[in-house]
Amino acid sequence: MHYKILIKTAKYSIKCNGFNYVMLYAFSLILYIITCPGNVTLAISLILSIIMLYASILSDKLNIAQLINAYNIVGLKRKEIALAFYIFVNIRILLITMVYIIAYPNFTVIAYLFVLSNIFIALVYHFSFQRG
Amino acid sequence: MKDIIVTVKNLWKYYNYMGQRIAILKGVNVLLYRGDVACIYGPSGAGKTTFLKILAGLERPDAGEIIVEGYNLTLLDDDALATLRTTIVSYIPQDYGLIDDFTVYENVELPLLVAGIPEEERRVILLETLRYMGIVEKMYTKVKYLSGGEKQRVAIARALVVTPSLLLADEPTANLDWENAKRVLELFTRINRDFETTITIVSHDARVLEFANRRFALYDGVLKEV
Repeated sequence: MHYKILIKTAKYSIKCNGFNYVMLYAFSLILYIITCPGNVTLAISLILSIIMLYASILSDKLNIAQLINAYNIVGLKRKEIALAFYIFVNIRILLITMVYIIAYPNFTVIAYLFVLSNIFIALVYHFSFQRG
Repeated sequence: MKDIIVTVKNLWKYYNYMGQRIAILKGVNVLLYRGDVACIYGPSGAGKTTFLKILAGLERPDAGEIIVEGYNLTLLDDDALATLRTTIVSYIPQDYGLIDDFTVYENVELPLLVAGIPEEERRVILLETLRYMGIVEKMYTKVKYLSGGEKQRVAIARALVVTPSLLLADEPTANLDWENAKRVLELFTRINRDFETTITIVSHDARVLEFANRRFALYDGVLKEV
């Protein structure tokens, strides 16, 4: 595995616009969960988090397409490209997960967020990028 | 007797369009030798890019055989084709295929990272390539700040950095004015002379033909040497 390419991908993910939106969202999410604790807040915030992740990917769609295209041209294998995409997106998922660790340290909720968002991201990759 | 680099035998490629199966390449046959500069000329939609992508292992044919440097591409899996792109074949797409937010250095470094070249050796190769391409002073500039001609040079540098046997360029002059286009074509000629690289250029611009020693016309999926 070309770990230097994966590190580059992670750095690139942080530099892209979508990451700034996730950062802003993460700050407001901490305030939201702390000031309005409860199950309803939690359910709403989980749905919002996944929508936010999707929005951040959509806003960086061109950057991701450029990245995948370049990696494909220089001879990165399909599995490695998928892993690079996974890392690109998971940097953002980790940021939101950290918010839950700080504001609502409940393992079940964090696990839900992580699994749901990853399934969602895998679907986005399959339908939007790999087929394109 | 020159080495044969590319052998294409009876190549067919179809696309599905609105429920119909349309042949985009119809029994293409071609032989390319080491050191050839081949230009494939034809109108838009003739199948030039598809042919080039098949040679690069980015698309698969529906029928026929392609042998590049002894490797039968039709028998290789996706991973093997990807490996081929880091060693034998380099492809330059029409839109350059660069990452705009990466610097010139980072873009050109990518194939070497994939090939697993150690850092010190990588730096030496990179500087040598960038100097050869005349873009060494731009190496820390992000690609998005470069002109079309400079982007094309970066794309060529990225393709050249692994010293491929076969260099494939898709419409390298399409986004450039003729002065810049001429410079890029002269660069291809120099690369061919210095490294004996086989170069295949596809273009809809007939002026590109004068820079090639092998000229092909691709009309309606049929390739003919002219």
